[in-house]
Amino acid sequence: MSRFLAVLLFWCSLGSAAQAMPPLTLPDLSGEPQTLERRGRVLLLNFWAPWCVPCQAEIRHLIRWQKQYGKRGLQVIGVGLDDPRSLGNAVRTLGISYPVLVADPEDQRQLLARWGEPSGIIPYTVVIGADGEIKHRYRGILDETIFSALVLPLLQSASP
Amino acid sequence: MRSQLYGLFWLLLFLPISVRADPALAQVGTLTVTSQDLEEALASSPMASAFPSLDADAQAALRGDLLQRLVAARLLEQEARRLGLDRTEAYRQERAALARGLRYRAYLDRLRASLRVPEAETARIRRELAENPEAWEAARAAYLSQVYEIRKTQMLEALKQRYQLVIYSTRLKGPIQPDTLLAKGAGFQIRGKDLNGQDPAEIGRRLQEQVELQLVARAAEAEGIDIGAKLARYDRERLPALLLEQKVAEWIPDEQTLRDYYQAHPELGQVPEFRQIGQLVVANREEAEALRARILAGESLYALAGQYSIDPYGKEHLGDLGWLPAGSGMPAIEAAIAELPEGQVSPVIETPKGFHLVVVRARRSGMQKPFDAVRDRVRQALIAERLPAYLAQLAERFPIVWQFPIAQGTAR
Repeated sequence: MSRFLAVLLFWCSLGSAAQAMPPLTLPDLSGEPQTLERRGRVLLLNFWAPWCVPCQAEIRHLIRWQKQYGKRGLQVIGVGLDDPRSLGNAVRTLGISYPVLVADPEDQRQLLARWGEPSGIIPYTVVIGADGEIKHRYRGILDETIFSALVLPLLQSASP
Repeated sequence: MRSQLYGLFWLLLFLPISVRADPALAQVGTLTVTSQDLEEALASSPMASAFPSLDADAQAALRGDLLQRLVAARLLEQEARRLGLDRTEAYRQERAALARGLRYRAYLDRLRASLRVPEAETARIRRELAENPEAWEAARAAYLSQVYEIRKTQMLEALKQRYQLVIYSTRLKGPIQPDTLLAKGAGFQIRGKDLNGQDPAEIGRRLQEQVELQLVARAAEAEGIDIGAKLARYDRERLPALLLEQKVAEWIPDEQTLRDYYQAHPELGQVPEFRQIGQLVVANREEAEALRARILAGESLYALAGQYSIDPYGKEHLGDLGWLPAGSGMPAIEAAIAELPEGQVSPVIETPKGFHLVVVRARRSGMQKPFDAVRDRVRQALIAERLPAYLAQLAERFPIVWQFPIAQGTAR
C-alpha cells in the first residue's frame, strides 16, 4: 500500500497547486514518510481515529466510493490519529483499501487547525480538486447526499 | 476437544471473511447461533467501538467470549420455555404491551420514511446554505419534521373516525375510579385503572397518549405491519433474563446467604497492604553485600541504585518503585520485607533476577472491607460460581453442537 501511495503522490506532485495548501508529511503504516503534494486526482483527505464510532460509519462509505470512483480520479487518503498498531488493526478489521497515514493524536488539534478545523473534531474531511485547490471542508460524516453534491461534480470534471 | 478449541480460535480469528454467508456457529438444542447473531452481539457490546483497533488474537478472544454468552442465552431460553415462563399471565401482558408499542412505532416510522423533501426545497436549502453544507442535513430534517407533524395530526384524525373514538372528557374532572370509562373505540376501552395517576391534568395527558397508542397500534395491526422479528428478539433476550432471575433468587434466597458466602470468601473484600518500595539490584552477592555496607554506613540506596542497579526501570527511577501491593513481588522479596521495619535496608535477597537490596519507605495498612461495601461483588461472585454448573446441566438437556467447519475438520 505504501508503494501505491508513493506512486500516487509522485504522480500527484506534477505541476503546482493554484491555491497554497498546508504541507503534510506523515509516516504511512510501515513508517515510511509520505509527503502529500497532489495534482491530477480528486483527493478526500479524511481525518479519523479507530475509537471514533462516527469515523467507522463514514469509513464504510469511503471504501465504497474509492472502489466505485477510483477509475474516475477519486483518491481517498486517511489520516489516522492513533498509534500505528491500533491503526493497522483498524485498517485490517474495517477493510480499508486506500492509503492511511499516521498522525500523533497529541497533535490532533494543531494538525486539524492547519487544515481548517480549529476545534479538532473528527471525522473531518477536506476535498481537494484535481487542480490542487481545497474545494470543501466537511465536519461530520460525509454521507451519500453530501458526496453527490460536493465531490461527484469534481470527478466528472476530472474524468479523462 | 483441544483441537476443537483451536479450530474455534482460528474460525473466530477469520470470522469476518465468512460472515457474509451467515453460517451457523452452534446448534443449541433446537436453536441456532449464527455469525450474524455474533456480529449483532458484538455491535451492541461495550467493546464495539474499541474492537477495530484490537489485535487479531484479542478480537478472536472477544468473539469467543460473546459466542459462549450467546450459547448460554440459548440454553436459558429453551429451559425458560420448557418451564413455561413464556406462558405466564404476567409475561403475556408484558409482551402484549410491548407489541402495542412496537406496532405504534413501526407505523409512525413508516409514515416518516414515506416523506420526501421536494427537489425545489432541496435546491433552496443548497442555495441558501451554499457555504455551509454541514447544515444541509439539519435543514432537511427540520423541513421533514414540520411535514411529519402535519401528516401525523391528519393521520390521527382519520384514525379517530375509523375507530369511532369517544372521549368522556367531563369524567376527567370528577373522581376517577379504576373502572371509570374514560375513552372507547372500536375494539378497545380505556378506564381509570389503565392510566395510573391522581392529578387530573396528568391523567388527561396520559389518556391522550393511550388513545394515540391504541389507535395507531390497531391501524398497524390491521394493515399487517410485521413486528414478529422484534418480538422474537424480545423473547430471546427476556426469557433467559427471567429464568436467571429465578435461579438467582433460588441461589441467594436471603441476605444471610450472601453474608455466609463473604465469610467463606474474605478475599473478595480484602485490600492489601501497600508499601512504598526502594530497590537496588546487582548481578552478584559480593557486590550486593558491599553496597549494603555502604548503605548501612549512611549512603543512599536510591543514589546507589541510579548508579549500579541492573534493573533498567529501577536505574532510570533511582530505585523508586512507587507504591506496590503486598503479594505483587517475587516470593523471596515478599518474605524478606514482610516484617522489615520502615527505612531499614533488607539483607541481600537472591532471586532469578539478581541480588536485591530493598527498603520499605512507608506502609499503608491493608483492610477487610465491611460486607455492605462489597455486597454487589459478593453477589456477582456467587452467581459466577453457580452459573457454569447450571449451564452444564442445561447442556445435557439441550445438547450443544459446534458447527464451524474448521473445528469439525480439525477434530481428530
